[in-house]
Amino acid sequence: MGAVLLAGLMTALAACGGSPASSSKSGSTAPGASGAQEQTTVTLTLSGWSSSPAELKIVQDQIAAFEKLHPDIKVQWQPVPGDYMQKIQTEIASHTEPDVFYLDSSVAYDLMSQGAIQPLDPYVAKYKTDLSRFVPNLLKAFQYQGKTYGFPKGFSTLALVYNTRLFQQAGIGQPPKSWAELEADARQLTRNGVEGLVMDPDFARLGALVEQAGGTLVDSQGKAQLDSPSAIEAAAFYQKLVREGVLKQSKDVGAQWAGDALAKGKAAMVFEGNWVVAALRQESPDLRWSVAPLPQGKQAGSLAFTVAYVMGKDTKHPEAAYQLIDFLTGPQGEKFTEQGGLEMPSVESMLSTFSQDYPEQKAFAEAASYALPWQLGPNGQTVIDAVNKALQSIYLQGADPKQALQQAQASIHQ
Amino acid sequence: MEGRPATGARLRAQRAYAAASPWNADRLQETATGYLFVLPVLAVYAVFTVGPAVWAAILSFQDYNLIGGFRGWVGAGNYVRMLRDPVFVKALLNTVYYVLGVVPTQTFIALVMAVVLNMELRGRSVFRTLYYLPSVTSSVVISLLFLQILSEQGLLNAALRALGFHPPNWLQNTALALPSIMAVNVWTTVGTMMILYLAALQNIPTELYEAAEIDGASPWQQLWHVTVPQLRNATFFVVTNGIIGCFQVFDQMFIMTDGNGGPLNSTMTLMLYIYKNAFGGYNAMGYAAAISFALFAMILVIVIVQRRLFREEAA
Repeated sequence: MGAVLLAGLMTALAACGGSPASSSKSGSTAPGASGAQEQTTVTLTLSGWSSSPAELKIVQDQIAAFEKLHPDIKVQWQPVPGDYMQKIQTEIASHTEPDVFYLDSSVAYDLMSQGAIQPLDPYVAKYKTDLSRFVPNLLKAFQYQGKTYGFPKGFSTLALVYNTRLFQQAGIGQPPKSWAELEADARQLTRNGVEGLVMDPDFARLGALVEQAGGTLVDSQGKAQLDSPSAIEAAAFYQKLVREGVLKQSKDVGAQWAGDALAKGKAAMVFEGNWVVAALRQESPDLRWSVAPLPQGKQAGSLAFTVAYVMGKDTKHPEAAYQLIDFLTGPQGEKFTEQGGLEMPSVESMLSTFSQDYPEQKAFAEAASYALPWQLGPNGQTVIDAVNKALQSIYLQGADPKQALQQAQASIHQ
Repeated sequence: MEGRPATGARLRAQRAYAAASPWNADRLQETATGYLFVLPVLAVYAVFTVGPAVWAAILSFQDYNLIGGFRGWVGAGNYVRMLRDPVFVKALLNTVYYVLGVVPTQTFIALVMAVVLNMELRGRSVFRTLYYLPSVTSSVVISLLFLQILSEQGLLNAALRALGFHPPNWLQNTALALPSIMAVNVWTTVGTMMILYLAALQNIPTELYEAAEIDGASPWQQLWHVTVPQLRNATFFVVTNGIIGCFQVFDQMFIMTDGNGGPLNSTMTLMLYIYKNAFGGYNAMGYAAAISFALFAMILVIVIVQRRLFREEAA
């Protein structure tokens, strides 16, 4: 029965793909004025997600601007509700993926290494695209064996977001700058049903601590180094805060995520990214909060979350698709991202404008110079899950950080 | 020496043979009509059930994933991998624990509810409807509701705190997460099982009870020696469906514990693990197919054994 169910699910999902690459039936002809000149129009499909009307509007404005510039290319925006990668995967398997689509850096390795998306290098050379326009670290997340597979469309970094009123009440003048200060402040802020720090036992938070400790969870070759000395040091620091009772996971304070805990006034400090801004304004407009760089360990460290536009391997219009990708991630397209204020533009020269337009998010932009994007190796999800389980065992059962991480490292190499 | 058989007899024999043969024109037409009628169902079944199942069987011997496609044959590799995979073992144990916990509980409660609601009680149809309601509600909706009820600041904990208890965080506790979901599942499915029992109860001839009463059997004796044995077929059906359903439990875990197997994989089930391998970023569709067949084999064996047991008891 299980097998039958799974198989049924697969066909059902594959069937959802719909018309083959939809755009592939290109070359629909637009009637010319006299009927003599015919202009061929190419239709591209573009897939991604949009979690708010504001986010949707940015994409729509970008597309409108692109179509104005390229009257011969039409762009069909096909947002995916629900589990995005699940749909894209099945579309790739049935050769019906969109011409251009979003790709999160955490799963980029698998698609690049297995040839599911096209390298952009031939077009970069042809159109003489200047890749130095991007924030340097971001582009690395979409490069594999010397080739570039996607251009980042924007990014968010982690910073310390804190409740300024609670800081005042506790008599803390400025946000913590070091691990020692973070610990001391968290202790002082934990009272009256408020947690000093709310942080989930999550890869995406430990990763920042590991970088502050001087290492990375995944090295530049995409190999997981879950039990490196820096990782153990970071996990031990996490455990110390848990044991002191000044750090809780969001679900233990009745929140969905750390930003929610901050909005509900249950957390004084959280490590969150730019997305928290819109969420706080919506959920708790009266809350007084501020953003500061993450406290430093041996060095400054933060994570960058980035999504790229990539080109499907089955596209019939690679030239047009490349023009779209280049436009969306170039100064003209990124202008809409910058003005939207939901995430930061991937074009480095626009970061200062972003900080001027959104001064409250300045600390996020400052982290761009050192924040590393997720560059996970093969089967990134298994690495993420292994780290999360290790952190859970530290959080829930007081497991030894070294042992837990060694176990995690061993589990991904079975 | 016998003479040649009479022509008439031979003709009759030939006709009879022709009529019995499947190649007889009338019979052929009849057969064709029959197949024509079942064709739509057969086609759908072949395309959406048999075909994919065969394909999944082939996949289970391949290194295959959705992104990269076919990456080589691995023989029994995917099946061997299960034995050495601690997460699979954990998922298997969780699933077995789930079945052993849920099936007897829901069967027993359903039987009790059915017997009670089969009595002449005032407003019993109201209760029947109420108890059946969870069964016709989407399991996703129920999971979302209980996610709220069971959360740290949820309804249940608020009530327990008001009574002076220090309640745990049900779904974030490695020992309590799975039992909590099991309780939700019992609550959801017990209505369906109750309806099945109710239908079966009404099929028991009243003479049996009359006879039992004349023989001086107490109501309890009647329950144990008339009702329960008479419900054998219904029980077989309820238990079998319960086992199959519980082995395939997915939605509740997917929603109530984030689809990640909950705290330290304490709510990881076989179906959830299959999903993670196939679609959830583990990129191991071949392995997922192999686990699916292992699950299929387990259910098959259990149902066969169960059938034997029920038959022996009946004999």
